[in-house]
Amino acid sequence: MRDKNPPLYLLTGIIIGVLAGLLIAYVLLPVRYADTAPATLNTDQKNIYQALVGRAYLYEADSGRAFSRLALLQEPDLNSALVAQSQQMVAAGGDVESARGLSLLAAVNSHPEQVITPLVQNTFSPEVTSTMLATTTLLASATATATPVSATETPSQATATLFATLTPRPSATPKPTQGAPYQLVGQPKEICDPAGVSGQLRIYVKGTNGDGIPGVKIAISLPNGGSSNFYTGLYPEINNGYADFTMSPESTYTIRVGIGGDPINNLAIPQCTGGDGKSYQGSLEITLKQQ
Amino acid sequence: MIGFLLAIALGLSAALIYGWLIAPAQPAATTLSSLRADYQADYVLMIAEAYPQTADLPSALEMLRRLNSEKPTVAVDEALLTAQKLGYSDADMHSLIDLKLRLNQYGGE
Repeated sequence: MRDKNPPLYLLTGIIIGVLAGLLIAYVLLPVRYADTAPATLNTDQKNIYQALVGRAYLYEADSGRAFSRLALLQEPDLNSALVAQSQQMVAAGGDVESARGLSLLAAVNSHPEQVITPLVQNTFSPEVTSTMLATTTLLASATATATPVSATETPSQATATLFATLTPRPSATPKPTQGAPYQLVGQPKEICDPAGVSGQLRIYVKGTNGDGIPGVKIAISLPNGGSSNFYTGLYPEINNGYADFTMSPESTYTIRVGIGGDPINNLAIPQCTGGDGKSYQGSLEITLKQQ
Repeated sequence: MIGFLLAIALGLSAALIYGWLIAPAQPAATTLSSLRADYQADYVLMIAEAYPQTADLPSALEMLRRLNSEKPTVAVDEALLTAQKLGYSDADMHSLIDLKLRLNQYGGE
């Protein structure tokens, strides 16, 4: 008569395998998450994120943006979390500005009608500021309308609501006249280098003194009928006024550099001929200078 | 003996399928560096907004190291690309570019 029960060693093997598998799956090699949301951050990192929101709010005074950012943390009791972290930071001698920002956000959360005067807005590097102000009205309005408030003039931390200075938002002031537009220097130059990158539209934007200007917006038409923007200044290792765009074959593009510049039409990938008579795609280089 | 090994393999496979696919460990303790690219770009933008002075750059670098501990300035480059892709406003783009330029001048690694 045969025994119908499975041998005990099989059951033992399965149990050992399951335990080893669980150890691997949850302890030794757990699933690693990428592309996560702020709500999944661990407590320390959430505190860092939240403090940064508070500090940015102090400079921006944009409560809508700040609360949108805080909402990503999905705190069940936001006000308590803000006040608690602010107090902890002050008690621990942490970043006072972040603590102030968090206190202010707690106050604004309770009394949404409150607005604050931002601290000094982004102070762009002198050489950048001079050129950006000339070309970008947005930036100009940001620096022109912001009322600088020294951090030392703010009431002390004793009462959170004291931080909320009930001053109206800075009123719009006339924007400075924008700088002169950029003009194409010469004709687009075809770059034929079989070993180089092909299909690139390389743009150099220079000021009146010939120096590259970062932060200049370049609007480009797309083959599908839409348009896109890109900016100079992302490759300072090449030139502060350099920007590039990868063109699609058999497409023509129109770009407009800065505000008020003339459109530059019919830009396309040049066809180059190599030494062996074969054709290949080159790149296009254009230079614009402020007049 | 073969049966015993097969039983272990069966148990191991079942547990791994359960632990990796069916009920993976919850992301209860992720870090800033694992945030999605758009959240990371906004984090860098906050740094640009919150540390606008040159004197703030060491602190800004420290904050950026939480995204890329070895090359914090790369985090700014990646944020710029993401911001451009997502169509950030001119003011935000300028903030990011300014941070990059200030870091370049400062020599932040």
